[in-house]
Amino acid sequence: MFLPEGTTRYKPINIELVNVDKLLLSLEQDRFTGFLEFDTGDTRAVILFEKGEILRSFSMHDGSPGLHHADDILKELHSGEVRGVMLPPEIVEMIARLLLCTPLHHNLSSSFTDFRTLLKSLEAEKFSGFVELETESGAYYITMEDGGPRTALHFSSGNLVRGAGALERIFNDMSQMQASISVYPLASLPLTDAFVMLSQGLLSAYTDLKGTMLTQKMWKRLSSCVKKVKGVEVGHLEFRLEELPRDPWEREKILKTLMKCELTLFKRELGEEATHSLYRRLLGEMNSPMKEIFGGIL
Amino acid sequence: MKIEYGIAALFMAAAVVIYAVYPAPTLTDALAVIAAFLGFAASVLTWLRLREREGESTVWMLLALGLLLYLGGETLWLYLEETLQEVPFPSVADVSWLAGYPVLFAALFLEYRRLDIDLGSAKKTGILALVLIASVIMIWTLLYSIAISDEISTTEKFLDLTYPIGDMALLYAAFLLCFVYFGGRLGRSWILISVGFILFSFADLAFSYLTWEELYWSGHPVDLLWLSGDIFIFVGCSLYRHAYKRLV
Repeated sequence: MFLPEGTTRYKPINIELVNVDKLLLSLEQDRFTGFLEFDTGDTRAVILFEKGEILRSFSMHDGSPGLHHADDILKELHSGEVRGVMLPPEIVEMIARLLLCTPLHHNLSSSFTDFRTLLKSLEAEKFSGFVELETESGAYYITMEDGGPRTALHFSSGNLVRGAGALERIFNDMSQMQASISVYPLASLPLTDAFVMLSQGLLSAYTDLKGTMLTQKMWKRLSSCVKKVKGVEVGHLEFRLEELPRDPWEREKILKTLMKCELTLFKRELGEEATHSLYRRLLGEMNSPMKEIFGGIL
Repeated sequence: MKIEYGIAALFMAAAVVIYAVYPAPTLTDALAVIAAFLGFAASVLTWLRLREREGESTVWMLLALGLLLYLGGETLWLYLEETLQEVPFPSVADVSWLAGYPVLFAALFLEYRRLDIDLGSAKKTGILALVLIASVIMIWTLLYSIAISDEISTTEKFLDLTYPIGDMALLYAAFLLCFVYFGGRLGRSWILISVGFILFSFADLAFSYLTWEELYWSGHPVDLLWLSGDIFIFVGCSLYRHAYKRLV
């Protein structure tokens, strides 16, 4: 996976000179969208932000990203450099999506891969997913659905081109320069199952502690907090999530919003420390990448 | 919780042995102080554990304060009995005990109000009826006779009537909490604390009867009811604290 260059927000600075907590707070207040990159020499770790909130955090090994909890990344950092780069939200979204996909083809060189033939082959296979291209002039992304292009992005030197213009640039640049091509099929993620497991785990711990009467009261408050969330209906001590959008990205956002509501109420009821510990225990029973997706909420 | 259960069992076993074998006033009074201290200490530890939570911490601070006043009563009783060499009733120790009632009631009622749960009129009436029936039985069988008796002083009459009535008020509030928390681990903790108050009310009632009939002596087996009440409160408070620990 390729990390495109955007507008530099923080030039590389020694990690030892940075108060990371204050830096994160400042990014949150500024609703920063982009990434922080930590380079320790041995490890390259990245924290991706969207409107000041941590969206994904990962470290790179041999060009492949491995998801981690941001806290785990930060506590391992003792030396090296950190830099901050601003990116358009569309590019951040694309990186966040790709991080959850397993590549079908990784870093194919355009010198021995014909891009048009590759696209035709994907079209014939009715491929749904993403094609990522990295060239000297920047990054290109094509989102495909049932073999056809749905969206295209071209990002270079801080400028973003969308749609037909971006697609045109791709074909034009591909005939003139070298590119590295990666193909990612759409990941099928058990987001809803993971959410239900966490939500039910929290509620069950609450019932076990405070009994059914107080749980029902808590549920009422939670219901009123989430009743306007798109695609979510409230049942008896459970959410009905059948109407959630099919797109994993939108689905992830909605489920994270729900979980944030639930955690806010739990913090108020049980205290921050107890809620965090309980939530971490529940996350411990989950597998990657669900663990990292929902772990990022804390 | 194993340590707390162990302390409770060991203490009660030792108390029963002392009351059966050598119920000297100094020893039995010291036991009462230790038992009251256990309840107070457990409530303080729970308060410290919950101090980040605004409403709940106020409740536990009041509960700890109420139990401190009970501990004050027991300590004064021990001191006065050692000094006077007779049962110090009525005495300044009663002031400390009586001061504990409104504080404890405020703690329990504040917790009920804080939870903001409407139990429904049927349940609330049921609990009230239960407490009223118990009060009527108490008055009918004993308290009325004490109230009209010429053999004891007005102060003694006042105390003999106030303790059981105070116990009933505490029981009412504690029962409300048991219903609200029913089914949860915190509910079990409140049930144990309520059992402690029930034992206190039996002990107070028996004490009123025994002092009226001049049958009470320091080291009387009825004291075991107070000791058991304190130990139930100690276990209940500890269970509350551990319920939160088990959550994580």
